[in-house]
Amino acid sequence: MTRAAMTAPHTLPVLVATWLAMWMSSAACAQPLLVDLSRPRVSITSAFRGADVLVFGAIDGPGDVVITVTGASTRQTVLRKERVFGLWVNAGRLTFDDVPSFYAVAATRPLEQILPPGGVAGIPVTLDERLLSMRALGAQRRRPIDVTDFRQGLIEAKRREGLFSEAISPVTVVGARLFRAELRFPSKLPVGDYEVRAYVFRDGQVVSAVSRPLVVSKAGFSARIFEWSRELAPIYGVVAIVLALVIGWLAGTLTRRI
Amino acid sequence: MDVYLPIAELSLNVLLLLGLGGVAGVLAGMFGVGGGFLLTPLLIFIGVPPAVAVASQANQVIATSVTGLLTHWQRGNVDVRMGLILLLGGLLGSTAGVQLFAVLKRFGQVDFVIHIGYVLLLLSIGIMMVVEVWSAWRRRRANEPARRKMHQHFLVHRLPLKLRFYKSKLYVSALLPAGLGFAVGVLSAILGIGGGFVLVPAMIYLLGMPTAVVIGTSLFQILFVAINVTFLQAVQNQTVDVVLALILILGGAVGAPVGTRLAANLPAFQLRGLLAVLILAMALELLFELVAPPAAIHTLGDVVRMP
Repeated sequence: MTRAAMTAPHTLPVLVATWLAMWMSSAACAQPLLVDLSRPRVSITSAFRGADVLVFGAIDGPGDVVITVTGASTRQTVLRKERVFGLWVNAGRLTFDDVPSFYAVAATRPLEQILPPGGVAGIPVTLDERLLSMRALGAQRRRPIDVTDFRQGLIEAKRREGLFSEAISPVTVVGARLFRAELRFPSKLPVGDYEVRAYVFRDGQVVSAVSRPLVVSKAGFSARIFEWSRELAPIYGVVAIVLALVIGWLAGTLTRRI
Repeated sequence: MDVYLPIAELSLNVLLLLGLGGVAGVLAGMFGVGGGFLLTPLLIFIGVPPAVAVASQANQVIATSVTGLLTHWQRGNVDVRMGLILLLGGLLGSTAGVQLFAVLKRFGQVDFVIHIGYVLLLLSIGIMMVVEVWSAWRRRRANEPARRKMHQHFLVHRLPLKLRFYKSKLYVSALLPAGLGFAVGVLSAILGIGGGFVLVPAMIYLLGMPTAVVIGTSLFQILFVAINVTFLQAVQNQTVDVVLALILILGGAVGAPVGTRLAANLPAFQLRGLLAVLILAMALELLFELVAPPAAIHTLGDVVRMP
């Protein structure tokens, strides 16, 4: 089914509906929130140009669905260009802990209509809430205004690469029971274990929450090459050299024949 | 048609990369230079991280220099003794250069050093070529033959460790070619170029080598230095993208014979002028990027997975 979902998006609603009907006829009916992904893994192959993953599921009553997608937690350095003798140089740098490599949110309505003012304690939904746990290393030695500047710069740089999404993508609800959301991942996607969380909000309260893992990994030929370059670096280097020598030599002999 | 470059970690159009390799190949065929000096800035321009562009470029230089060396070797245009001494300096210089590269990478300054290095390199080469073309043009107008001594005697000829180089008809200190090799080796490691651009004029004007053996001997040194750089970059900095290098090499293999044929049919004099203008334009463009306010003040640096 995953294959069909990837190749023919228009058949998806039908497939999802059939599958959910089968699913709900079983004991799973009792669950207030059911969620699954159109595929559990995003493979970065040599032809990777970004990916779409469909999140779909069912809710057992009224409410708003909010979906968050979080990449692995990273330690990220931000560089700042400053003017030194008339040239723009990376003169400033600050490292932050607990920066999600990727963050996106999808919701049925604008978040301010769903969430209570100030958000729900312990459940980060918006990017700002998620980044509350982000810490600058050695922040006590920096001016607070400096840390804020780097923090803002980090968010902007991540946005430019599509790793922090600016807009909230829509979650479509069908017949008050089924919902679906299309998640778009950019071509420059960091590998790692992602987490897709779905929440049902009712009157500013979280009624239920479900989490699904999503693995982003390099696959196929390009994954092998990347692994070899890290784990078998000397052999990788020698192979690169030999390939260049052989092609260069062949090119030299062939062109003289012609 | 896009291809994912596993080390650069981005997708780029194959035809674009083949085209870039082809242009470098045409230049190599036309002028006997590697073309790396144009290729690296162009790769950076289309989004390849500078560190990866430089290291993969070194890999590409291996292929172009082996092609060129084959021809010159068969014609006996290689002064092996001189080449070995240049190489000795080159191996030391490129090894030191790769260490320096690793330090710069740790401090997040590698991109800047590559950038400013290219501005200086292209500016000096461009100006040198313009001056040379200009004076050649004036001589031709005045119908004067070029004055040329066998070689001049500088202070450098008083250095110790003098060696006799039969093929180059020279008796100079081994320190001179070794030092030259060292300097070009450092450039090769940091900028990813073969260094023929610096090496060839230096061998003619500084060492006083006969022009016939200069190209072959410089290719001899460039080949082995490029091999050293590729290996060390792969092991130490892990920035060699073999997929990128192979595409560039294939493009270059097609472009080189085209360049050779073009060079045979076009007037060499105008070609040199054209190349000089091209190099100066490139240098000014790179300089402008350093001086103009950047589109983004903040960029993402190193990233590591949290435990």
